[in-house]
Amino acid sequence: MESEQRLKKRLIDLVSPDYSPAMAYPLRARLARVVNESTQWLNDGAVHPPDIAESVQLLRDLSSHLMQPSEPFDGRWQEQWIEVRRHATLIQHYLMTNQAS
Amino acid sequence: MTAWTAWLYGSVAREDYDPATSDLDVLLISDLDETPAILRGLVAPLPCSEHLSLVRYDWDEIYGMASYGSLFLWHMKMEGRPLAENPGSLRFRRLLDRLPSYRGSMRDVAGFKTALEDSSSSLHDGGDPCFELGVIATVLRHASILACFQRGTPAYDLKQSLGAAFEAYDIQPFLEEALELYYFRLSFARKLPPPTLEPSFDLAWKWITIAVYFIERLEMDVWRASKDSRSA
Repeated sequence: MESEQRLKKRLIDLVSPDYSPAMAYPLRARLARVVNESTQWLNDGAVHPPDIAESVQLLRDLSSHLMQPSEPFDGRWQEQWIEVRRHATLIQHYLMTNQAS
Repeated sequence: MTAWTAWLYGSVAREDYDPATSDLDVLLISDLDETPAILRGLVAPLPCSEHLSLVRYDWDEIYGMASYGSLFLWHMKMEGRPLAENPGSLRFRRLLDRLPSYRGSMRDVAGFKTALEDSSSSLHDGGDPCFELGVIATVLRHASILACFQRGTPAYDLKQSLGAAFEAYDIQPFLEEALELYYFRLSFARKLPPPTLEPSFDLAWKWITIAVYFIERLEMDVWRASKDSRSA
């Protein structure tokens, strides 16, 4: 599968499930996977708008926060997961509507 | 002033750290947004301070975790020690003294299974085997801590917990490679030189198989313990 197609799939896996305490653990890994694949995609030589690179960076920051060896906290997740979904959705929207130049 | 406390845990607290690979694990509990200025001075002289892994929670989060007997708090109770004695450290110590049994094992097993299914799916569509080996290693690390806890022999050290769990689940021959696998995670996180094992799809599939078997055995342990506690 092409890197861009893979990233689209990873983003769906990240933003689709409803939050539940049981999903907190796998969602952390899914977020890290999106950050990993987004970074590879950004480095593939194509030109992307700066706000997309910013969203990837913000996801990376959020991932280091949510990836700490913690337990699922309702409060922290509700607050930060909204941010994760917002930036993931921005990247998703860009991938759907733009062809990388 | 709002009470805060900072506790050392992990390999530096146990004094069995490896300067090349160990993090300096510090838990900070505070309701303030800023890190207390004094913390930098407390941490600087400690080993591995260049790899500070600071975990921050506020008091509400800590009380929430205590309500279900968080394994992380059991970890702190077993080997944590305050970097400084203050009203916050006394408050946290009192909370640890009253920590109930852990009640999240079933949920954890479900989370481990989903994380491995995700890794498997990622490998199927050509994902990054190095990343997935890191995920598998992390799942095995967390699952081995739960396995030791379920068996009544809590252990948080990487080698000790993996060693005990691999022995309990009859997969000891894979232990050395599992420990090396864990360095994929470290090398990925810190961009250290990769371990001697070459990341590959074959290696990742092999470890998915082992990890799935591990989680099945753990699930049986958790199910048995739950049944025993219901019948007691």
